Amino acid sequence: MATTSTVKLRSGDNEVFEVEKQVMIQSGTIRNMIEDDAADGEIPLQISSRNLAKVVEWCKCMQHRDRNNNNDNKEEEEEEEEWEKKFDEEVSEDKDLHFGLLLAANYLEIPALLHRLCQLAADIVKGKTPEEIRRTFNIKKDFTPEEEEAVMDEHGWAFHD
Amino acid sequence: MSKRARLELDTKQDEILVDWISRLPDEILVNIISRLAVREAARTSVLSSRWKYLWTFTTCLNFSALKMLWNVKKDPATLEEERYNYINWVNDVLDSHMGLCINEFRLCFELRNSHGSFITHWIFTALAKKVQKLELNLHPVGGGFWPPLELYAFPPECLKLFRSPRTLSNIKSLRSLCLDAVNVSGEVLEFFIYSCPLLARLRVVFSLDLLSLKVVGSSVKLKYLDICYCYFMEEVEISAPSVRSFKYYGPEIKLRMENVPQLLDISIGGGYGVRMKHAISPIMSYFHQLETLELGFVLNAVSILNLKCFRVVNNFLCFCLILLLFLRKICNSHNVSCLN
Repeated sequence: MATTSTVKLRSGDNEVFEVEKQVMIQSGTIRNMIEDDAADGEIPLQISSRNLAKVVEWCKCMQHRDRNNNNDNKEEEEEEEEWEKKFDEEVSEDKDLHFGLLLAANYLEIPALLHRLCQLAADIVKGKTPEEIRRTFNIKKDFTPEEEEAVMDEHGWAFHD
Repeated sequence: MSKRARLELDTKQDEILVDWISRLPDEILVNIISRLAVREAARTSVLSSRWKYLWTFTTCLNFSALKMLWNVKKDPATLEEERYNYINWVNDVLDSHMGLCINEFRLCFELRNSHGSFITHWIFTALAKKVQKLELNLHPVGGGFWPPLELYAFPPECLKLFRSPRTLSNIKSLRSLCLDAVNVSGEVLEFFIYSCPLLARLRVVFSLDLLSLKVVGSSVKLKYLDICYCYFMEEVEISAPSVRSFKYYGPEIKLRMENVPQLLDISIGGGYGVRMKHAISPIMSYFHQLETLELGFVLNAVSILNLKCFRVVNNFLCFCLILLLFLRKICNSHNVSCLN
């Protein structure tokens, strides 16, 4: 049986975050460690302190929201919505953060965060031409013009209106 | 600028120009692509060789064709041509699709029984990929319905195929089933209701083969049942603790309802001239637990308790009666009389 109510997470750049277990059980990876009593020491993670801080912040906000779900507190609700909106904006504008959080959410198995981040990425892609998508994400086209044409011909309906 | 400073600047620019998205694992990229429309998803195939086949694992096959529908609406003569394009499109996507699982499969185009072999093949493909949300909306583009001689019908041999062990294990993923302008019988629907342990949502619109439906049993997981415009409907029996919402619009039916402790929303209507004398008394004993009650027919007697939302459609007189009853209720009258 685990003795403490908190768990210590060590970032890749050696910063330690002490967080309530109740908050971190949203992560499948950490929940498994807690259940296996393997979370009493520090848990080393290959996640930078900047990204880990953001993940912890997100988990805290979600747990707070779930706990207050039954209260009809309008003010807090608005505050949480505001926080989520700010989170979305910050992530959408900062590609390093977006990328790091996607990998972190995937590694830590936090489905709700992963879904949110994938949706933000999809929103960035939506409505853009392939060339615009390449420019947005610095994707290097490695097709020759002939290959590119062949790919487009294969599913012509996708490229012609 | 010193050599070193320039070097630092170069590295910095390199960092900025990193193609981080292509470095993500396949599962995350497929997760992102699955949030795009099929057309946009397929367009990512041309981004780079890394992306060429990722879209074929998309988990969302929503064949929404607003532009084709719009073309047909503008010029009905193009229906055949656009229908041909639609069928080819769905076939091409399914031929290319390599994913083993899909969350959503949605058809939305005016297709008839003469295209039945395609539609049946698509349904089985979707079921084989363990589809969770299956929607067939084959509604006529203009909205006109009568006479609906050529509605796609689930072929009779479907049930036999559904019952084969392999299909049976695949359909267990189904959570939501919506059939619009599809002739489907009560027998087929009941097969889904009783065989799919996750099926929570069932919506049937305009099935002329649907005469009666039984949703009975504590193992049933159905929460939302919605039946509209099934013109030969005669009977509905609901006795399942899971049911939260029942919506019905159509001819008068014989309704049996019991053991629905979680029922919160009821909507029953039949338009002008339809009386529901056999439908109202079974739901009366559940009025106290409802949050929403919507009625759209000639009404005889109603009592209201604890409702958050109440709406009467097309019937001002009826609204007055209910208001009267409601006021009597407030005045502590425990005996609500039936008004004719």
